[in-house]
Amino acid sequence: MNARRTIVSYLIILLILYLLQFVLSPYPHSLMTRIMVFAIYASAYNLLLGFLGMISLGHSMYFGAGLYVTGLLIINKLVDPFSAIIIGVFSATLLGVATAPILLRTRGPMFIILTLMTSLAFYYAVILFNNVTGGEQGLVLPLERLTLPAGKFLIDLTSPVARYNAALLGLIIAMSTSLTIYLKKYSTLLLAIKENEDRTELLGYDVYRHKLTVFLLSSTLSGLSGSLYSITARYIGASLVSVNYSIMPLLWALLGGQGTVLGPLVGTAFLTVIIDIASSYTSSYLIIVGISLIALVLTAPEGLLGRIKTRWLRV
Amino acid sequence: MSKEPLLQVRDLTKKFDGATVLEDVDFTIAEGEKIAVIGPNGAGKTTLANLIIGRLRPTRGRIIYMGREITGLPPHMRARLGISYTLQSIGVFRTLTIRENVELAEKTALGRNHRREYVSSAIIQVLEMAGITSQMDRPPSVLSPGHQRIVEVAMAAMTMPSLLILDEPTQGLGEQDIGLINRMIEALGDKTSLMIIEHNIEFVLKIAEKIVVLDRGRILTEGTPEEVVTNESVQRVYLGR
Repeated sequence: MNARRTIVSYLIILLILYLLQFVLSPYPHSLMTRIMVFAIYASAYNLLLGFLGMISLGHSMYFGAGLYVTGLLIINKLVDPFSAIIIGVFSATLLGVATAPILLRTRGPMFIILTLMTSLAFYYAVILFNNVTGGEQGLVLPLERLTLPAGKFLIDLTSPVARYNAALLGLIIAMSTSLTIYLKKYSTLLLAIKENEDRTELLGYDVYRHKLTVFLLSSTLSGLSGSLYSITARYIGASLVSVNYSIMPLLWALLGGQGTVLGPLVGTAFLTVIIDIASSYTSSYLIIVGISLIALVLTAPEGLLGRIKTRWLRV
Repeated sequence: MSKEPLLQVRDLTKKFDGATVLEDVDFTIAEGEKIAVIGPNGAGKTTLANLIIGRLRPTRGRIIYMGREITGLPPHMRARLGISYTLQSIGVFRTLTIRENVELAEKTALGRNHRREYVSSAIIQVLEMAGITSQMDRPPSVLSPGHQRIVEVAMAAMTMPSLLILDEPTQGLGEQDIGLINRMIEALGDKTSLMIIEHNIEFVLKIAEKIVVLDRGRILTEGTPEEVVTNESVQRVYLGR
């Protein structure tokens, strides 16, 4: 029953997201594109946080791998945008493969510190090679290089419709991954690992292998988000791989409801809209955002989706 | 009747920061044999179990299981070979339902026990007798600590182990619950070996065919229950007579 309800809610939300593009005016349309791109990142982060209870402060480097590889390939006219996305996503996976053997040997606070250190190394590498990356100032993707050949046609990725649907497609991939883990009952094993790794291992499960699987899925989807960000925002810059961009998905997932399929999208939408509204009134908008977050954590510690479920759906 | 050793523990020594917790421990468990490891607090019983299941690496010595050296294998691989262990503290997953706990354990059973279906249904029957089956879709926290312990032993039994290691399974349990744990052990059949670490001497004498007595990290003596309870040094060191 719960599984069916989750699938139905998931399909309804996707349908709403698809239909929204036809009714939204230009600004909310582009805001929704940004929300969906970030929701991919939040979903990716949620795999690690929600199912395994691991707090990473280094996910911005996987987001950054997708962002920079895709962006630089397009800027330097090395491949077409579609190939650039594929290579960008794959590079995030590779970075995950390279860092996981070190990061996954640690747990708790050590994992948090180590992820933070590796992402800082990534950030400073971006600054150091500013002649290639554009450093803090960043680089803009030229409009004329954002066309995607599709058979006899050309998809213009600079059009709001194409950007919106590219983000929606990415979100479907990310949320379907979470949904599959949930429906295949793989989440039961992951929650057991989250609660007690040693006990799970004593039952015969190779805990490291399962953590690695989830970690690589998470880094790959973070890369997808970064890759789509570079295309939809037409910008790559060091601020996007700073520690702030590792904390944001943590907040999005926590706010929406960690370990849920739809929670990351809800949390991302909520926080992005709050920031957007607050910043239109004052440059000190983070104060308003902070107060909203405190109020929300106090009233809905289980996340927005968890609150909705217990308050209105009584599940 | 001589039985092939299922587990051979050879000269096992464990030191923590220079302090010797186990020294030259040497014993075997035959297939289907039920042994108990007893000893005063700090004798090294749980350390011995942790070395066998792979949570600790020995400073010296070897562990051979089914003729294969497993001294360097990680815990999950030992579990996959059929060594199951219940923790001294209750080790059920509180964030899962009781059913998910049991199913999680059952999934790792590799059909080692030819009586798998019989064992599964016998264990479910025990859970039913304890009144647990009506609460299968609720978290273990709804159960008393004693019944949580029963669920944990059920999980260990559901993995169809060849060697079941129980660390103080009757701690805090009443007579009736101890009887239910005994039933689950019996359900596993005479092919499953048992190593039980226990303070409850009455339970040990009822179940064990052999008793290994540990004292300050060394084997004081081993033998049949009759031999051990009449052993003078055991009476002095452990039974306090």
